Amino acid sequence: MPMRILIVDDSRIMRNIVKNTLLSLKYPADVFTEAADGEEAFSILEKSEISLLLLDWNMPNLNGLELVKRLRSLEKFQNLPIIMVTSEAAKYNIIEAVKAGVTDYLVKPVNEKSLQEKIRNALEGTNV
Amino acid sequence: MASRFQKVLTNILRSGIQTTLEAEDEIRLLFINSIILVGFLALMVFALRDFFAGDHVYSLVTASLAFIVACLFFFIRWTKLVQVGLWFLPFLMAAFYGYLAASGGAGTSGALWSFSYPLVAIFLLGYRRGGLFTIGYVVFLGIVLFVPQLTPAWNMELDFKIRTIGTYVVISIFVVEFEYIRLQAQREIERGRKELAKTTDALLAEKSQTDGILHNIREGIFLVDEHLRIVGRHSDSLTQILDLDDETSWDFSTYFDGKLPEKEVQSLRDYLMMFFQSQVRPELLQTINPLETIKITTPRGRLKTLAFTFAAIKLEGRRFILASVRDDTLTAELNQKLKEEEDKAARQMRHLFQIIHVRPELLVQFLEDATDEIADINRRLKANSLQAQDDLMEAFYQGVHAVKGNAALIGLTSFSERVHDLENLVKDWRGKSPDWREILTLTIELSKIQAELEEIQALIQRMSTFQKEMANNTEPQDLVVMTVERAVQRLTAETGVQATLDLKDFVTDNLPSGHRKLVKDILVQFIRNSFVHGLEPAEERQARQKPLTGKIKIICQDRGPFLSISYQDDGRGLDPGRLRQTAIKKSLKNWDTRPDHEILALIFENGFSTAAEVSVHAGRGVGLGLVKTRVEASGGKVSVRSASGQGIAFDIELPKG
Amino acid sequence: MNIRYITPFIEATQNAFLELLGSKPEALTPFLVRREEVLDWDISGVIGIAGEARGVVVLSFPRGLAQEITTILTGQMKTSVDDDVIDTVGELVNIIAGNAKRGLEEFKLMISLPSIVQGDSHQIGWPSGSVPIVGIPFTTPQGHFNLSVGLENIITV
Repeated sequence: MPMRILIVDDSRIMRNIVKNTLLSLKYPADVFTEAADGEEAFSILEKSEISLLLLDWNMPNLNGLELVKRLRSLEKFQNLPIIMVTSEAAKYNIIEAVKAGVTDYLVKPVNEKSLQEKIRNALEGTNV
Repeated sequence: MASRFQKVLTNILRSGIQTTLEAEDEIRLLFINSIILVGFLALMVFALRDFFAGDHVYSLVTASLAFIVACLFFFIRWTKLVQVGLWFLPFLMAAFYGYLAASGGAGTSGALWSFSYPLVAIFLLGYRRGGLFTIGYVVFLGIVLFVPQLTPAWNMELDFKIRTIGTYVVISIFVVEFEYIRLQAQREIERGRKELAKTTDALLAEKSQTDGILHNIREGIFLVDEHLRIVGRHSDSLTQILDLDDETSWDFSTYFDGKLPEKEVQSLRDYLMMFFQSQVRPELLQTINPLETIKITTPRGRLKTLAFTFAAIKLEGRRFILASVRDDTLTAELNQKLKEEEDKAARQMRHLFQIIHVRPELLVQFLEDATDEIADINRRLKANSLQAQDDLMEAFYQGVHAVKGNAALIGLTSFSERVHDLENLVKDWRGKSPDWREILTLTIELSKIQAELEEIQALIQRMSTFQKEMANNTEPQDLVVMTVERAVQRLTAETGVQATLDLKDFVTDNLPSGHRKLVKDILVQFIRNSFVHGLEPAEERQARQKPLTGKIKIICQDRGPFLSISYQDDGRGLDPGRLRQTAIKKSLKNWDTRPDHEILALIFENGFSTAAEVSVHAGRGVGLGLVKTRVEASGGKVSVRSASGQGIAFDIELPKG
Repeated sequence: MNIRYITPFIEATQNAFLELLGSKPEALTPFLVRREEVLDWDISGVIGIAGEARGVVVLSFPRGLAQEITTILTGQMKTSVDDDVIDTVGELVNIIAGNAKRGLEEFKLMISLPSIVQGDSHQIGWPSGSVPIVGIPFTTPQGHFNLSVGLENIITV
């Protein structure tokens, strides 16, 4: 199954930053799909095979946290690797996200090495 | 009574040996003493019986045997040489039984005693040596029974002899077997006991090690179960670190109720439950530890910095959290102190950098003046609480303005900028009556400025010795003259306007020190106005046929009770027409109708300014107002003369007293 | 020093007086306090502050007011600063400190248990160095008192 990464953030600039970071880590360009809000992301996830989800917290139409909760309540997405990339840095926020079921968590600004490591760890769990 | 008897019996059977023996030896000791006792009794009984039956020979033999046995008993008891008995007895009994067998005894039943020989020999000496004795005896018995004419027993019936030997052999085999098995079992038990002892020792050692660790370790270590309660053992320091009474089971999460915001306490519970429930990666769990380092007030009221770590472990199939807490208060305090020192050093460097190029006398004067200005403002503030003053904000403003100007003048640029910020704040309140809350913001900013002045002062104190030596090399100079000269230099540099300063008639010998500051400030204000408003740029001067360089002249004369100070420049001067226009534009009543020579005084009014730009140096329209206020406050007078296009002159009269 | 650090104390003070003594103290014009200045108050409660700002908040009372407050709260007439008066002032300052605490959490400020200083011309333990100190006078039907704040920011912005 070819790898597909879904990047979700309501800021186009942020999506580009994440994408560029991944491109510089040698991920091929055709691996990315983007969405600007939670609902859009959800419909993409339902329709196509996504191997990794990178999403922000604060978004219109279903924020990141709600999306994670919804995904984890469905059997299809129980094991989907989800990494939250957001500016919410307070520990109690991170704990809330982990409680909802994110696989890992990264605080903006995005550190290249951390992102790479976390993606690798997240994907290892699913034998991609 | 019974136990005394037991004690006596035990003593007899153990030959008085008190020490604990190996199991084998113990058994043998008891056995041999038992045999001796029983044997002795039996022998005595038989001896007596034979004696009374008339069989004196038998009786004598039996009795002497009994005697020997008794001696053996006491020998063993006295020497504690149990081995001797163990070896001696089989021989003795072999001889005695042999004799009995050989002699036939009562109806040849003497041989029956032989059957007990294997038991004795093997139980006393073990199946190997005892076995040898047993074999030896059966050989002996065989000789006794089968060698013709050797003993009276030879006369027994063959059947009987065969049965005797046969029974003996069978008994021997069983005894050997029994002893062998018993020995193996004994050994097994011994081994088991030794292993158990080793394990117990090992466990005890481990326990004392664990105890040692838990007693001595400085960190609090404890276990938390899935109900978030502290269970099991914990290190002694835990109760001291968390300031607890030693309760053995309490809810870890409720410890933080009231010490942390509720959101965080809930978050903590969620986090801890993750150790029990979920598939969160351990590395991630470590990075989101909300108690990595926290500052809380303990139940005893102490403010501590604590660092917690958590790890998931499994004990006997159940999951627990192994937690540790470290008291970092001292470290945190030291770090804090370090940070404060660093901050302080950085601030001092900043100040130092600012003041290093300022002449020390000027700096000292500036500090005195600034402190006075602030003290004045403060007096007003305090007085305002007793009775509201309409001009509180005005006074506040003018004081701050003065400090700012002086700071800018002597070159403390960044400090003057900070004061400028405050000035902006105060400016909005001029003429108004803010309430205490609004004043509070201003007071806070003012207090920060005062604190900074104090810091600069402290810094200077430390530098004063250094600078005293520098100062000794220069001639004493007049501060007012210096200030004036410096002002001209700075303003030339800033505005590009050229001007010469004529101080020929500026005699300050009789200037009282109390007026020094006032005169300095006033002259500086005039100079500023000259450079910014009065003196024209070179082209304009040329057009007016004036010398390219402007002229400023200051005169100070002693007129007895008064000092007369006059300042003049040859700049644009004042235009009554423009002044009148400004009056109209600003709706300043009564001014627009004044005659020309009177309207000049308008420039001393507060809020008056024709400059379009507000800059640090001039244009706030307050400078001259301040001058008039202060001169009059000192009991003096100030007036202005001007010929439009030609120049301006200020005349000041100050009482010397 | 930031006004946001001070307002919780002001509000807590006003609330405490309102609740306990029935009237809200009126604040007058804030002024500057010099560190070596000897206050002419008789009894002061000192609350320590730590965190991103460091210093003390001090509530100072003249003996008359302290006695009056104690009289009202205990029902016993007080004519001198005895142990009851000291305890009452301590309690009052405690309540104020406790209420202020909540408003300070978001600024990562911690406050310590207050201590009472008394006696003629007592000195306050202001933080070392040059620290800005502001005093806010309050007036009540029973007399005047003072809230002083001496704080310096640790995190230099």
